[in-house]
Amino acid sequence: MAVCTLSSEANNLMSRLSKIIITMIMFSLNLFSQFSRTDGMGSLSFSIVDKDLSLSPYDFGGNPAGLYHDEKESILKMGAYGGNDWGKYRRKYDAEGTMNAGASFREVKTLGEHGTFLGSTSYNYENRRNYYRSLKKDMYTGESFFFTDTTAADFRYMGPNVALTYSLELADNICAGVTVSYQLLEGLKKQFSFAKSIYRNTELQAGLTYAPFERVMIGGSVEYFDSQESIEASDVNLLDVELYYFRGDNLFVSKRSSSMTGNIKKKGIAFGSQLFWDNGDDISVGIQANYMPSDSKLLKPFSSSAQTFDEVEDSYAAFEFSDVQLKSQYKCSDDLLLGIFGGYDHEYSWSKISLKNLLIWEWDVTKYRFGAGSSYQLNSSLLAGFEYEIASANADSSKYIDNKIVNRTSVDHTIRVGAEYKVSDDIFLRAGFNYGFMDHDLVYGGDRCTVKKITWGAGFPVTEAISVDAQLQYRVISPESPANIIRTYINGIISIQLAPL
Amino acid sequence: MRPFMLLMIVSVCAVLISCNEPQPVTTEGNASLKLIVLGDTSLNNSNMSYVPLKNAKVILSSEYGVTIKYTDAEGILNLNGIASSTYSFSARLIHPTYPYILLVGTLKDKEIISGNVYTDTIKAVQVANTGIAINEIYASGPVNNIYFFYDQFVELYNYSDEIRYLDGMIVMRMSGNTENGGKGPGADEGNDGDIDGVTYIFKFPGKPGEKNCPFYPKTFKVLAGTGINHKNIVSTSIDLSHADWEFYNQYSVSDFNNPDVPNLINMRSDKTSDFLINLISDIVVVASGVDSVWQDGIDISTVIDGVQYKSSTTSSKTLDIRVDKSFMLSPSRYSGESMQRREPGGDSNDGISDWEIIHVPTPGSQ
Repeated sequence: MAVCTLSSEANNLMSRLSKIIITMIMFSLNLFSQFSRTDGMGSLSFSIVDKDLSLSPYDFGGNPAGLYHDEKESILKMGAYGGNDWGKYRRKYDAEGTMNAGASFREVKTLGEHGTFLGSTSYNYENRRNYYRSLKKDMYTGESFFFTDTTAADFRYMGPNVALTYSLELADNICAGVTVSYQLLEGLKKQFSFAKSIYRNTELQAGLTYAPFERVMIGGSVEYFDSQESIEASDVNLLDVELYYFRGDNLFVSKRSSSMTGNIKKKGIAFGSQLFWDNGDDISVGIQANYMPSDSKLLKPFSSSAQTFDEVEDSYAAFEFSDVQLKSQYKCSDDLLLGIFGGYDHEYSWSKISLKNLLIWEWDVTKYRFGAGSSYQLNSSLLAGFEYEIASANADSSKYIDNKIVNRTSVDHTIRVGAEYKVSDDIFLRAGFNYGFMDHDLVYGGDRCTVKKITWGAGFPVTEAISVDAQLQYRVISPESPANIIRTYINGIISIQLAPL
Repeated sequence: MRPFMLLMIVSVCAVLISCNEPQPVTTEGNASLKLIVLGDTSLNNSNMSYVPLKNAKVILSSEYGVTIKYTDAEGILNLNGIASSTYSFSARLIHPTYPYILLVGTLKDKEIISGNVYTDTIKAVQVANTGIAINEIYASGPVNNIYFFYDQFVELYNYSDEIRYLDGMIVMRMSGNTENGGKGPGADEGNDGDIDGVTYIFKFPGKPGEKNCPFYPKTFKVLAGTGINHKNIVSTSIDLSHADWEFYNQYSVSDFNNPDVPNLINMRSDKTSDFLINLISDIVVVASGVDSVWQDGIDISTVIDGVQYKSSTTSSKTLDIRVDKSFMLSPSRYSGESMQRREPGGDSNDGISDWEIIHVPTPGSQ
């Protein structure tokens, strides 16, 4: 097979970080309409003034209690997105390419002193082309167990996602908020095992914000999430289905029957805290810290000469993620804004074979990030921004079951450039460019990778009551080793906003 | 501050709900095993002579499947970093001087636990080179989508140096003995020295001891479910029109009888279907026919050979260990694959190391 020959330990070493990225992607899919403006400007993130990137508990800390102060107007947005990625630069169990599309609605309803309500819903479709043997929706999420059959085939997922947020000012300077979300995806593999999967994810988040002083706000939130993916493989022809429960990269227990099942359960909790300060004039600072323990279990039927169980825990993985992020902006003048960003991420995980209680994989990833940038209003029509970010990551991986011990350090650089041109009072054109260099690609395992991204965007009114925002991104990752392979991504979003009701 | 108290309570509850399991202290993949393989190469039972077996094939079987390794020049196999599991080892080598003698030794149910170093010895003995063995079982059916599996056959091999006679011998499928808490098919229910659960029992013509059905040394006999060319029905099937024997149920109104192929006939009048075996999991036993009273079980001392095949290592094995110590893994149903001994007639009474899956059935040959 002509895919890149990434070492499996490299694939898995950093794969946990891909979970963060996947989470970010899902988040962006659900609430994409919030980000369309800066996504069209090279994804500028901390050195630009934007309504959806403000230093507030809701935008920066994801605290639902902040919604009350963040959204002051009733808004209805609807939109659609589509994307595609392809290329030989991929991991063993990845699809050759992925096409996704969806539609969403998002409504903010301000109720004055009775609070603010946000409801969003989307319907997502994803088709993974030639998904290599994998039966799990997310194969690389840091566990050392894989669940596969024997064939590469298209796998499609589709289903709705609903989220509701309500925020209220309980007392002077104290706001509370709660978010409930539910996602359902139905998956189907189109060949051989004809595996069907039902994925559901439920999240419940509660938060508070408190402003003890005029220029200071603190916040805290707690989120519980629980997901389950039930997979049933049953050949519609007469052949038996053969499934493999991989432990590590090489060892597996195979099972064969006319019908096979597997169940993946994940749960976790995330604690978040935020602190914001501004001097009322030109300086604003936001700090947030998060801590998220979670776990993941693979359950399967089990039978022996003595006993039979419908479901036993085959493998288990535990995760601990913590991060601290700082973002600050300084308004030098009416035209010039400086921004800095700093971040620290730490993640630790271990996996075990449950029936034997043996540790099979342990890994630890630490990442530091620092960025600086500015945006400048060149004239009344043109706004331009520039950001530079450097990140240093260190990963230790001890995959005991495969006798592989790996330590890897990567220093990454990212440059973002973006601009917005105001054609008229209501019409905007946007464009941007990213250039990145990674010593080691922490997600896909390549060495000395370059990342190039071009973005375009536009905002214009259709009528007095309706305006449109659209953006398009084109991104290419190409490693120096392995050579001559790339991965290409293209994504587009269009969002229609109805004027305040 | 009530809201903050409430948030604290919610947080504590959430922590309790999501508490992770404790981390194990023992790591996987940290066991070592030194296996010394010795073999008896003497030709005289009273004076056994064990010597290291160089380049002997060692078959490791566990829940992780079957792996084949070879010993070094000193007859030693060193395994490092192996995963914890219960292993069975079977060492086998053709006698260095006499190729018709097979040296076979086994080490069963060896518990390997990570973090430990093990040393063990396998003593291979000469497998008596006389007798008849079931050499191939084709049960899975050809690749098809019409549920066709009627091209099944059982192949026997005379691995002795003498002419054997099939007169009166019986071939059985054992799938009963499961009612009322029975031990299962092929088990010695009641511990009375026989195996129970006979579902089908077909016999060769004649009586044990007669010499009308010769079985020449180093030859195969194909016992077809139905001795016709099945390719005429399913193109991916096989031609059994030249089978040596055919199972024919004289109590059936529909069983086709090829007049050119001699018959094994049914001994159970209550069974009116052809001799068919399960595609992926069953037991086949061949016995001398001296004890053919199936109702109370077939005396183990009359059993010539028997094997159990299963689709997984974890499902129960019921065939009495005096007939076969383990089992063999079957191919998928309708895969067109067959089960065959690794060496013709190579019978150490240890199915999992004696047998392998082959992609194409080979009736009448190895």
